Amino acid sequence: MTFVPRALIAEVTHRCPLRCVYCSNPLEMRSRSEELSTEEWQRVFGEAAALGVLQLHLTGGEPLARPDAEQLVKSGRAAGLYVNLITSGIGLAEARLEALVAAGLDHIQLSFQDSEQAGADEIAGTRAHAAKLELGHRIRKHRIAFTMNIVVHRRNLARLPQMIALAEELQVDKLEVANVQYYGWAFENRSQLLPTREQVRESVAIVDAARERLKGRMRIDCVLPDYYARYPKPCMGGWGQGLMLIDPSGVVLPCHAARVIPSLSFDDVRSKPLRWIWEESRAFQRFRGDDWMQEPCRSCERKTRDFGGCRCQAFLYTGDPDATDPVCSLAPKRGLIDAVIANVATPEGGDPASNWVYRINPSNLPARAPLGVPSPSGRGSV
Amino acid sequence: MSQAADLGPVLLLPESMLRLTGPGPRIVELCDGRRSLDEVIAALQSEFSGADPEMIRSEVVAFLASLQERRALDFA
Repeated sequence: MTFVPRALIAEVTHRCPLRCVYCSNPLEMRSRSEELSTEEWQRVFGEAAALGVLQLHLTGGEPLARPDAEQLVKSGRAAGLYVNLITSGIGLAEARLEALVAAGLDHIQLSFQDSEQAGADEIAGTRAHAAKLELGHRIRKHRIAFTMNIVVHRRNLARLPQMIALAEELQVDKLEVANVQYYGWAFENRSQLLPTREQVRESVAIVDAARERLKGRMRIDCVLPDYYARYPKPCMGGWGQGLMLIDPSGVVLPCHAARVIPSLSFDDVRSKPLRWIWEESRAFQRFRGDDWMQEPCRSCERKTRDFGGCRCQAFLYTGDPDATDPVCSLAPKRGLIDAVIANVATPEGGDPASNWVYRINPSNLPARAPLGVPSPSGRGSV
Repeated sequence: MSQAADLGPVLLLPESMLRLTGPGPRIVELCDGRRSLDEVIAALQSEFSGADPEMIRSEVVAFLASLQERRALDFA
């Protein structure tokens, strides 16, 4: 069976002005000196388009930390791709926004951490909220699709109605209410971030009512925490089936978190053609089909729908990337997830907020930091 | 709107896409930001002169309403 990638997530840098406690970047960041050049990205966008990719998501870190962001947008468009910029918005002055739109940017996704400054700045580990608000009020004036993304968790779900009101005020086309996904830095902070079951239930009702009220004006996408699900999510639509991610140094991955699986080695676009990596590399083949599956997945009728769930989550909890995703109610290791949930019986449950593990910035690291151990200097509270 | 080698015409939207079939690509093409709804309908009625003009009108309106709901277009 052949698979065609439709989307390329390009992590063009790991540098970022924010230090969000739920950042999806890996704990081991790529430094600036490792980053692909403008010309290398341009070549890669062409290779991706030739493979069937239609959509390019420029992300990071903060993609605008690269002075060539406008050129990257232009290169993506020249390759025939729909170009999305996923940004914190920090430092995006009007002249640069105009330049990005002129370069052909199709869609901008602006992240918020909260509807109120104190909570937002605590999560971001820096003062960012006011600048985001200022930018948010300028985007609608441009002919560009506009999504507001707000990551929700136990500490901010109480303000979901105010977040929706903010999205209305900014006149966004789409609001993403995205529960934290527990990988990367978020996994480190999971006991402080995971909402209660009651909070999740209430948020679904609030989103449903808002969808009905805002029909035709704003779409609302909602990502629920899979820890409360009966069955796992079809992670990335299946491993290596429709999507790929390229990290700042050119390493090609099936998802944001895949580097946590130590038995896999991933190829990079500096040494191999993208088509070979997608079609033939061992890492991309590893979890295609169902030969790798264990029971209960192998004989499960849902295996063609959820593919046994997330391989990274299986590894993080069981140490075995072939295991059934532990969030599945049928998984032998479901008890590991229930133990995390049991610690979060109330909105105040879990560790006190002063124990946040903040994301580090790779520019603080030596050019070739040894993998495996995050810098201790980046840990701790603000 | 874009052409995918193996899917045909697709309308690309933030993090999703819509495969366009039948008169879909032509309708999207006519929505150029300048034509009014009536002008889009009139153009299609003259291009598909064998079909019932009222049926064309109601189908175009329904199609564009579904695109508006997906936030793919706005009525000015």
